[in-house]
Amino acid sequence: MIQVLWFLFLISFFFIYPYFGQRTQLAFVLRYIEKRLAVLKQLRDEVRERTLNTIKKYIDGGDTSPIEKELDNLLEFFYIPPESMDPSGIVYKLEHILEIGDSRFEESVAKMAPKADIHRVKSLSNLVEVARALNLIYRVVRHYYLLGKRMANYFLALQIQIQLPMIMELAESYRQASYAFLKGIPIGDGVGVLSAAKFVKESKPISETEIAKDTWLNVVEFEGRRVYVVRPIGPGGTVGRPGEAVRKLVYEMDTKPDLIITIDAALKLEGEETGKIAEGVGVAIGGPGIDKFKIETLAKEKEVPLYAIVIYQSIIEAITPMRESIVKSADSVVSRVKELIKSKVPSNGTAIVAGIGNTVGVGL
Amino acid sequence: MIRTFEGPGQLGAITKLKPMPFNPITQLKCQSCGSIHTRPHKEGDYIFGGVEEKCPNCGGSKHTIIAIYVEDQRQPPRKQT
Repeated sequence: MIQVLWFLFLISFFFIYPYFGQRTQLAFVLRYIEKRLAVLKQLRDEVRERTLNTIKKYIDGGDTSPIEKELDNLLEFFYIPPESMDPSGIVYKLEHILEIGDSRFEESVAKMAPKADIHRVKSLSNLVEVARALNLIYRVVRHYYLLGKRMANYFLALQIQIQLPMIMELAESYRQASYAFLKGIPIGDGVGVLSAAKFVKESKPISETEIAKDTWLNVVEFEGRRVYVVRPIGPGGTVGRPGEAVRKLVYEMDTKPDLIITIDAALKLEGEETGKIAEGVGVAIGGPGIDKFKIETLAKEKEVPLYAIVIYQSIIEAITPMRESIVKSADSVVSRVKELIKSKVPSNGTAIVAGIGNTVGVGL
Repeated sequence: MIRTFEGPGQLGAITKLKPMPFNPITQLKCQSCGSIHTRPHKEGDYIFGGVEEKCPNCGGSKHTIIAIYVEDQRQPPRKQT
């Protein structure tokens, strides 16, 4: 009898388990994804509602259905990157496409919220971008879930299950980011801008002007050196055009810098302290790379040393309201910038300092 | 047409989102006496912006916002094994 049972167990193990085992695993994985997909849907809907309610505060009254329709259009908005088979000039093509996208967003938001001022329109555009990002995350996860279910393919479902803990963390941080843009609270990414602004406040002002779209230039004197400080214009949420500003300074305004310093938030590694400051060489600018490319190109041509100061934080801390430790690090960054200028720029010399990041909640 | 999580009894209906856990703080500097104090963030506050509020130290009314932040989340210390 035992022998028969043992034989049946072996048969089932070798012939039935490989098929049903994977089916069972697939059911567990799909259940896991399904639960998180439900949360993602709630996050998406919550941020959409929050965006819509905020926009409604800035209308003159009347029918709100066209606003909902326009918002839903923006949530499905996409960018097609330029063709890269012939990469020559691709940076400027990408810049052109992104500029069109930014203008489209801002124009639509300004039209939907006619009572909002220019800074509010920029923060609202950021809010719509956050809602769009959450909508995209939800759609992609749903795609893999339904594909895995329809094809009964364990590995398709597994791919998204492996990444889901990170995706959920990112989605939750987008939710918190929406709160920051809604209330106009500075986010962690703005620490570079905050540091540059603090440096300006502690130096002797000479002049100031808008040098590029959404980008402010302060010319200040620091210990006998002329320093050009470039940063996005706040308190609305924008990153400005630091690359274009530095290009104009060097090529159109004929500035001959002895040093270019960029200050930006950088991603910390797991286990590292938030707000830690590090110094290095190169251009500290994230994003699609257009501003970084422009500064690197002119620095190579004019043989200008490039220094970078970064403030470490996690991706979540970068897009959610600024933490106390990050705010405190801005003062240390200003000291590091001053030391760098004193040691690398001769008296009567010139330096460019660029504060990089989103300037929501940080004024001029 | 794709239909998921729309009907009653679906998971979406029973999963509740946790409320967002932070309270932003605004740090103000009095333009008369230079004292620094904090209060909960109000809509419209921004760093380097001016606000008119009574200073608890000297009674002056003009302040500059010098920081807006949320307090760091303290992790409980791990047990040594």
